[in-house]
Amino acid sequence: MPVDLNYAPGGSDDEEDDDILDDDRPGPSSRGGRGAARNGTASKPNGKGKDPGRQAWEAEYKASWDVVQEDESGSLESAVESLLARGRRKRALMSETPLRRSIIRHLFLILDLSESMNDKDYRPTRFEVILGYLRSYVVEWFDQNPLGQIGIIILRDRLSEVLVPMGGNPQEILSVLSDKRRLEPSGEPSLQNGLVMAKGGMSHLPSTSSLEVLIIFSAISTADPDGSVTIHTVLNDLVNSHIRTNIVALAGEIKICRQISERTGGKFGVALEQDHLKDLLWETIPPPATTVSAAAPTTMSVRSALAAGGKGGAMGGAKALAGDLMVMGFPIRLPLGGETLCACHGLLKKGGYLCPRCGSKLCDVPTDCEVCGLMVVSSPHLARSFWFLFPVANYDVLMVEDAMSADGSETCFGCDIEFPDLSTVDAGVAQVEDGVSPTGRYRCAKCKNDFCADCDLYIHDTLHTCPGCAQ
Amino acid sequence: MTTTQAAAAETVYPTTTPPSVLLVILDIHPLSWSLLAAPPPAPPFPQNHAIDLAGASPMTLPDFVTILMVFLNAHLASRWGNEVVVYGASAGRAKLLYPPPPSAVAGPSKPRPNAYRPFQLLDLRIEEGLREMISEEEARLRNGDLSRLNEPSAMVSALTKALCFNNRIVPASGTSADITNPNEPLAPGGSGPDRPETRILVINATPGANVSTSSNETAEGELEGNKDIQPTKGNQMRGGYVGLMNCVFAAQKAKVPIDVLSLPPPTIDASPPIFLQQAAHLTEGVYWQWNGRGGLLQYLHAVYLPPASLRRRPFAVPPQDAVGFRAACFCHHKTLDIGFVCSVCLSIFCEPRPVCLMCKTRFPIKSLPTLKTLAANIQPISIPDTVLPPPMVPRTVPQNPPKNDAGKKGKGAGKSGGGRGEPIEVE
Repeated sequence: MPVDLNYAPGGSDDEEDDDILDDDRPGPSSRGGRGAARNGTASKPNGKGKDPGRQAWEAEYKASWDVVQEDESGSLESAVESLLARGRRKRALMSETPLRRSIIRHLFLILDLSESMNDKDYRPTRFEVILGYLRSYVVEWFDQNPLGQIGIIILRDRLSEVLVPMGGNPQEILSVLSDKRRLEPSGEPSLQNGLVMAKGGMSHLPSTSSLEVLIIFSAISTADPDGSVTIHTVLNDLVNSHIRTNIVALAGEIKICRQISERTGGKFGVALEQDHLKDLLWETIPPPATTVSAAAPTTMSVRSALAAGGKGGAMGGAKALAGDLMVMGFPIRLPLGGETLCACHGLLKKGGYLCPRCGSKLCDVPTDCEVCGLMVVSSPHLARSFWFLFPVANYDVLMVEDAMSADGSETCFGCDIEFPDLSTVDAGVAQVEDGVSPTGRYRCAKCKNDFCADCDLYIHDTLHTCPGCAQ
Repeated sequence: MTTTQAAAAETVYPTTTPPSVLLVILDIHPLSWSLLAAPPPAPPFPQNHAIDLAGASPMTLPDFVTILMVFLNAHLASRWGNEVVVYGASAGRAKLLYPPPPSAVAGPSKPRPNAYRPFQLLDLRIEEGLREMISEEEARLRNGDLSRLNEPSAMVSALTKALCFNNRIVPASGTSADITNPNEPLAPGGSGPDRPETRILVINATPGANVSTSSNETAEGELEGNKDIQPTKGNQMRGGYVGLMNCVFAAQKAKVPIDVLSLPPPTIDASPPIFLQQAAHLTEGVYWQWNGRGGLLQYLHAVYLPPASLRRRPFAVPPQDAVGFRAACFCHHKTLDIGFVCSVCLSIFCEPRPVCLMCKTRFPIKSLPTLKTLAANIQPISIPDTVLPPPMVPRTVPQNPPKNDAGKKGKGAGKSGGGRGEPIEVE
C-alpha cells in the first residue's frame, strides 16, 4: 500500500507527545503559539513545512482577528474591506461552469463521544460546542440537499451505535441531538467499528447517489477490536464501495484519519478553534462537485478519484459516471379541507398530496407512490439545486475611469441605494486591494448593470439570480 | 394547521408588533391591463344571490392605482414606522417607483392643508413614478422595440430587487448560527422590537401560465455556450422558473412572506399562475385570486393589510387553494405533471432523451423505451376545488362546468375511501 507517501506531519513525534501531556490547557489556539515557541528555541528542523514554526495543518488558516489591522488613521474600515475582498476572491476562484454535483446524497455522521469530548479547550466543552454546531449543520445541510438523507452513528466505550438511522427528516435528528442525556460521552472510540457500521448501513444504496461519511473525531487514538479485520482492510472496503469519507479532527492530525480521507476522496482537517471548526464542517455541506470535462480534472470526479486512489476502481473512470433518467411526478397539494384516507397509511388525514399518475393521496413528499410506484417529489425540492446549474456571473470591479466614462447609473441596480459620489473618490489611494471596487460599484459581466457591495454579496451568496439578467 | 391554531389559542395577543415594511410589486403590463379593462361577462353564480348580482366589473390601471393608494395609505396609517416600497414590473423591465431616490426628494409644491403629509407624498410620488415609467415604455415602443411587448412582466427581476432592498434594510442576522443559541435559526424570525417586519405583495395582472416567465440571460448564455443543445423557442419559462424559485428560497431564508394577489378573474383564464401560487405557499404568504366582481379594496384590506405576525390571530387568512407543485421542463418549457429527471444534476425534461442537456450525462439507451411507456397514457388529474362550496345550496343548478367537475372528483375520491378506489381503474 503506497500509503505513507503523502503523509507529512509537521512536527516530530516527541512534540506530539508533549501535546498529549498538557492537553487540557486552555484554548486550542494557544497550541500554535506554544508549538512555534518551542520550535524556535529548540530549532528543530521542521521537515517539509514551508511555514516554519507552524504545524502543517495550521498554515492555511488565519483567525479573522489576527488579520485585522488598524490603518494609519486608526480606523478599521480598510481591514474590513480587505476581509470582504478575500471573500470575493475566494468566490471568484469558483468556476462559473455548471458542474456535475452529486445531488442525491446519503451521509452518515460519525460522532466521537469518547471521554475526550469533555475536554474544555473549546468553551464550555467540546461536546457542547459540537452539539451546537451539529444542530445548525443538519438544518443547513437539509436546506441545501433536500433530497439527501442523514444518519448518525456514535462512538463510545469502544462500541459504535446507530443513534439515528438514515432518514430525511431533520426534525427527527434535531430532537435526538437535543437530548443530551442520551449522548453522555464515555470511554474510548473505535474508528473501525464506526466505519464498518456506516458501510453496512449504506451497502443497500445505489451507486448513483453520493455515499458519504463525516467523522468528527475528538480522541487521538482509536481502540479497535482484535482479529483478522483491521482498520486497513476496512479502509479498502470503503474505497471499493466508493464511500467518500471526510474527517474533522478536534485534537490533532492522526495518520490513519488522514489516510482514510485521502484514499476515499474526502477531506481531512484539524480544527484550530471554533470558527475554523465551523468552516471545516460547513465546507462539507454543498454537494460535492465534479467537473464535466474529463480532460482537465481540476477537481476529480469522486469515482475517478477513487479509481485513482484505490485499486478497487474496477470500472473505468468515465464509465462510472453514467447517470440515470428517473421518472418523477409532481403532485398537487390538497387544501386542508376535509379529512380523507391516505394511500400510504390508510388513515384519515387532512391535506396531503395527489399522485399525478394514479390520483391516490399521499401524506408527504418526496416519496414513492404507494399505488403506482411513481417517485413523487414536489418541484421546489428539485429547484433548490438549480442554482448550481445556472450560476450568476461574477461581478467585476468598476474602476473610476470606467464609472466616469460609462453611462453608469447613480443607484445600485439591486437595492436602489445611491452610490458614493465619484468626485469624492480619490483615484490614487491605496485601495487597490484586489477585488474591492474603489468606486463602490460592481458591474455584472452579462447585463452591464452596476451593483453595490452588499447586493453583490447577497446576490452571489443567497439569491443566486441577477436582477439585471432576469429582465 | 390544527397545531398552529392550538398553539395560537394559548398565546395572548401580542401587545406590540414591530413596524412593517410593505414591498409592493405591481404588474403594469399593457396587454394584461387591456384584458382586465374589458373582461368577458361573468358566469351566473346561483348559490349566492348577492355575488350573482355583482356582475363582472372592468378594472383599469388608473382605477386600480386609486384603490392601491387607499390601501397603502391604510398601511401607513396602521402603525407609526410602517413603510411602503413600490416596484413596477412591465414587459421585460422592472423599476423602483417609490420611494424616490434621496436626491430627487422635494416636498409637494403646495402642501394641501387637509391632507396628512405622508399620504400626500406617497400618492404624489407613486403617480409620478408610474407616469414616468409608462412614458418610458411608450418611448421604447415608439423606437420600434415592439418585440419586448410580447415579453411577460419582469416579475423575477422585481422580486430580486425587492429582496435586495430587504437585505439592505434588514441585514441577515448572521447566517452563522450563534453557538450560544443554536436554536436561533429555527425560531421564527423577526425577533426584537425594532427589527422591521417585511413582506412582499405581488399584484399579478398577467393571466395564466404566462406569468413569471421573464427571460433569464444567465440561462440563455449557458445554452449558447453548449452548442449542441437544440435551439429553444420560448426561452423564458425555464429561466423565469429557476429565477423565481431562487427568489422563493431567498425569501424563505429571510423569512419574508410573498403574498400574491392575482387579478385576472377565472373568466379570463381559469388556470392560476401556479408558480406564483407555489411562491406564496412556500413562503407562507397568502395567495388569493380575484373573482372579477368588484370589491377589490375590501379584499385588499381584509386579506393583505395585517402584517404576518397578526395574520392568523386575531385575523384570519382566506382558505388557500390546492397548490399544484408542477415544474417547468428545461427543454421545451412546458409545465409538467410527470417529468424525466437527470439523476446527476436533477434537470427536468418532458421526454426521455439519451443525453442530459445540462450536464451531458449519458443515460442507458436500453431504458429509454421503457421510460417512454411509463410516461405514456397519463391523464392529468384535475385539481380539486379548494374552497368547499357554501353549505346552503337551495337548488341544484348546473354550474360552471369544468370547475364543478373538478371539485366533485376530488371530493368524491376523498369520501369513497381516498385514492384507493380510483387508481385501480387506471391501472
